[in-house]
Amino acid sequence: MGRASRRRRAGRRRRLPINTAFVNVPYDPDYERLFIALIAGLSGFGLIPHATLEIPGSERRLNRILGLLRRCRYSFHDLSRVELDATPPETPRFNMPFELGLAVALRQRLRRRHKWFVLEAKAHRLSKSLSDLGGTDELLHGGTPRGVLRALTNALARSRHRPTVAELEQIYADLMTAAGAIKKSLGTDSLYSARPFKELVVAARISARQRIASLGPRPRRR
Amino acid sequence: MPAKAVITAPVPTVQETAREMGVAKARVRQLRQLMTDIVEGRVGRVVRFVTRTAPAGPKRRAVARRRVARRKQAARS
Repeated sequence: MGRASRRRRAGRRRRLPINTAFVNVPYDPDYERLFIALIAGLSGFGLIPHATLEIPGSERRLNRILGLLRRCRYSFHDLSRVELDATPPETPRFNMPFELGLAVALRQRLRRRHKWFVLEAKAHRLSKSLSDLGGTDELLHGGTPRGVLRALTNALARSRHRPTVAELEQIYADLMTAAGAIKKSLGTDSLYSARPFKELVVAARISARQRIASLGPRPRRR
Repeated sequence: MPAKAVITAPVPTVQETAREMGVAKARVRQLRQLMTDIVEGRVGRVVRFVTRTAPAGPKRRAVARRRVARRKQAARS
């Protein structure tokens, strides 16, 4: 293959979106408030959250996860619920650490621009449960929505505008109300499926643009 | 893990977000109305978003009636 045609092919390669974030969290009802806080916080920072639950299940789960990870610039992995499952036989949940491993490998081997973050509820637990990540500073949220928002403001910064925790809390409060309305409107009692999640992300973007003035449309210059 | 990630990408618009997530324009319109009502504290209207299947108001009824009349006229001619 000639150099020119190779260059043409490279030029045709799709550019990866730079404002997408992969969210790797436990899909359990107790975590729902933190899940909403994570969506609110990421939207407040101008990112579009993605999760494995938004892709239809015909494809193999691992392929879905890899595909999504590759498409996202940032990834957030919450390891606060890596605990023994109550239903027999008692087993720990390995999904979240496994997906974190995929993100680490992605950064090392495939795409150096991918940035990953680990969220935890308790300090020093990560160094005990996953000592391979020694020297990694986890983002502590203490199991509260405000903690999640605070952790995000510690991890992210915008070059033009830095939303405060108070601003992100307003988006979170809006989203809590919207989540109830969306669930009722779709006749579901869980946010952990494709359609409620997608609508919640759009609702978060609308709220962010209404609540944070600098995220809204810029006035046209004359 | 980097200490702090500085995001330089422009903030996506609502339409861009909806396109990325695959949400239909009509639904985005409804969600926009819902969020405006929530932000402005009009809780009663949030209920209307949920009960979208309720009978149409006089304005929507009139529009529907006109549409049916037009269709009938077109069929006759």
